[in-house]
Amino acid sequence: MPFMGQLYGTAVRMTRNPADAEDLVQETFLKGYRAYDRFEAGTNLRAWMFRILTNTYINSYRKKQRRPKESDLADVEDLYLYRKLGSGTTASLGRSAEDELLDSITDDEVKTAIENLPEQYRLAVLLADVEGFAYKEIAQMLDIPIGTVMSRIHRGRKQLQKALYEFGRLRGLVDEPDDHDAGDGATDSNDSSNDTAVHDTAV
Amino acid sequence: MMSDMTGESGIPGKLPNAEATLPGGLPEAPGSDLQGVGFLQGAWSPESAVPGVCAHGLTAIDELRDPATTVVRLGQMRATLACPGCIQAFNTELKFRTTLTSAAWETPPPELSTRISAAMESMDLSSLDIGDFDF
Repeated sequence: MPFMGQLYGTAVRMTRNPADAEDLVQETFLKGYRAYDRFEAGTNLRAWMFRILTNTYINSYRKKQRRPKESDLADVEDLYLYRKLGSGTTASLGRSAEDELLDSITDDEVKTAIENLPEQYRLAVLLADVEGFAYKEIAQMLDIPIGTVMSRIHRGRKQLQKALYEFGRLRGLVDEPDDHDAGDGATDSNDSSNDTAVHDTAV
Repeated sequence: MMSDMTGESGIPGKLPNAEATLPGGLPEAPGSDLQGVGFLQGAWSPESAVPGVCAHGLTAIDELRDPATTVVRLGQMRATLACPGCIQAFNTELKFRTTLTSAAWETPPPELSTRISAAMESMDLSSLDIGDFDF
């Protein structure tokens, strides 16, 4: 079946539950099969299937689950990993500290970080960075303006970078004292307080 | 060399040709003789607000983040970067994106295809509500 793996992977990250993901993928295929006469030949079948998946999730599955909080993200500075680690290299290998960190982060940690994102950001990041859809396609799938798509992706990515950095820090992969987090926007802080931490570490 | 450092803008410390763009929208590559003189290339400027990354680097990173950007285009953009900070920030964003893509993959259970095929054959599909994706 076409796109099964991609649809299933996204469904798991959407529902955060393999059983629900299987049901969601099944419903997506059934609806696609049922509505195939609406598909315009020559257009993007993959995008069409993902739009069905996304709509079905938003309209059906999300209602069944305890609805995730439509929360906003605390602001995190752009290029978070670079700012935090950009000046460091691993002496033994001459590799950048960012490479070292990202290579050490496990797939499960990345998945957890994605699944911990608030839903509106999670869907946008999944469709852009995991599935590679263009901003315009994502805007159509989620029925939101392109500017909103870009904003959600941007904020979601920043939050993901912070989450991965925290995984690294907790595992001792990052050599930085805890009190550095005071200004990195983890909860309520704002952009101006973030800059304090940035200059300490990245210049 | 000196005139290159100030660039067409004539502003010392500003990336030469930073404002000029190619037909594709990407700023022109800075002169190769500027390698390693990051402080002269606007390694930090108020407009970029990212330490070590100039405005040209941020433009390239923005394009890198666009899912529609092709691998070939990524290579072209990477080749235009001269500041060490820009290159490092660009590489970090690229690595981050690759990490996300590879980690999020899931293998569907083998029985799922069979289950869906069976459902297609046995279900009355006309009972399915497809009004929620009227496009």
